[in-house]
Amino acid sequence: MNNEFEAARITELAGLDAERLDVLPFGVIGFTSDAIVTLYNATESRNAGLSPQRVLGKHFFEEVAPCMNNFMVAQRFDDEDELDDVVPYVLTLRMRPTPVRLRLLKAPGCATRFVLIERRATN
Amino acid sequence: MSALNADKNDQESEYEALLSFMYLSPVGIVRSDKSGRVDMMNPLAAQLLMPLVKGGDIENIFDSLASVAPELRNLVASFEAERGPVCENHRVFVTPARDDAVVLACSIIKVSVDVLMMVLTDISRQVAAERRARQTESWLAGIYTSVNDFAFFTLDAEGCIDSWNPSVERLTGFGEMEVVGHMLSRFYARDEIVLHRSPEHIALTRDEGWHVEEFWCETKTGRRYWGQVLVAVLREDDGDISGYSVVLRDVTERKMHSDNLARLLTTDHLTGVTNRAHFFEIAESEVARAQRHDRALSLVMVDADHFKRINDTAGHQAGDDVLKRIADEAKALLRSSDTVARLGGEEFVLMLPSTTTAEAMVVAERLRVAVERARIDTAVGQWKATISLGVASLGDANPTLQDLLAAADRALYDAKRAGRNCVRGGVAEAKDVAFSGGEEGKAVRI
Repeated sequence: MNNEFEAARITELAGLDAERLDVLPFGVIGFTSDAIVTLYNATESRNAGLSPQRVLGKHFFEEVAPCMNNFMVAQRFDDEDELDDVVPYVLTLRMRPTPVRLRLLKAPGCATRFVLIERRATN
Repeated sequence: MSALNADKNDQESEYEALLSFMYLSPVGIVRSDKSGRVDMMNPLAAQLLMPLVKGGDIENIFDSLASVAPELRNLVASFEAERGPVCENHRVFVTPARDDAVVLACSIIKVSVDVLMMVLTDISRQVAAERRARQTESWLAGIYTSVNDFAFFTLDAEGCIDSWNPSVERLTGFGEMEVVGHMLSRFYARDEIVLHRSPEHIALTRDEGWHVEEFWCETKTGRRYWGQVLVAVLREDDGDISGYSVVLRDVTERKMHSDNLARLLTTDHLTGVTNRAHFFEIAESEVARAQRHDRALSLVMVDADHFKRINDTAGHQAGDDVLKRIADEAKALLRSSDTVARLGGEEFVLMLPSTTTAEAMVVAERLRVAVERARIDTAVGQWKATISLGVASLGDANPTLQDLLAAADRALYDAKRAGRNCVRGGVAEAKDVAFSGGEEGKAVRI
């Protein structure tokens, strides 16, 4: 499963239908170049406690995940043409600080950008 | 049945609506126990805190903020009431950058013996606006109040005085022959004559269009007055600088009033040394000055060893006495052009202009020895303390204040790891100096 989190290619993700995205064990959020959310899989919906209806069509960094609206995440999507990086992060899923790994994905040929979210094992 | 289901759905959607409300809250909210262990927090809190923590963990709020606001833990620990506001809009200076400094306001409420609620707000824009307002205000205040007299004259493109009128003689006592052809330094008081200052006014004026500076002046007959000089660029039609206009004013009275206020705003209340906010202001200009004149500049980061242990065993009062003594030892050792500042908690920094790494290592070692030898009187008897020190200097590897601070911090960390009560940092060849630092006179600072 870890392998999948790190290995999934942006072109593959963009090609998956909703059901296939939903069964992935990690959170998947896809958004357009102006940060409007177009993909929100079931894993992420469950973890965050938000239904897709509340998230789809919203501005990702302003309306959905303001916690990523800083130079560590949002700024990188602005600054870099191509992005495939895993960063350790803390999300506040249901207001509980949760250590996660974020994988930031952006490619010139792909209209959708992705943030993948995997919960880190806590010790 | 259906009513029950409707209720359940209502509850679920209400819960989701509440979550969404908290997710989008425009201030950071954190709940922790009294030791700072985080229980809940909202996304904005994570957005503000994540850039401050290494390795991406926010388990403890005091640890997360320790690098920029180590005093928070002490504030909470020394708040004795069972509940109440511990601090309100306490300012945390996250980055020292002059123009786009990141500043957080932090309020902590003690809800009960073991529950803290903290609110974090990004007030960077407000602070920047205040700063601009303050500049304008002080300039306006300078114009309208307590001006004893003023003189107006002009400089040529090289910065030499090229015009004279009776107002110059009225204020300074100098006649035409005595000032034309001289630099602005003609008016400085004798103890203020620093050769680089006059060209520096001009360089800053050229960059910004105008520049204001204040310093002690002396009239021909030797009367000292606090002079404020405003230099503004005069331009040719083609945009070239043809010279400068200068207004020199005697603002001695205002200086006497504002000195007290300035002291309040710029010093640390406990130790009397420069405070964190003011340090960042003067450090930025010191770095710029060192670069402009290609001069050395070194920082020494100082941290009291096992300070928590002192606080825990001897009490906060004794901890404060230790901090005061460290500050006093540092002050006693430094020149008037050096600065000692308290960055927060038990961390201090020394800023040493025109000082190379090797020289700064010597100073750091002297301070280390001075603190080690000190017997510190406290209400609970005499205490001993040691400090760890990290040295870094401006240069290709550390071209900005932020780089310099980070390098000094790394050196300090090295000193801690090496067992504390020692000096680390600088370049390889400076290490020898560190180890022989106890012997006086090997490297002499001027």
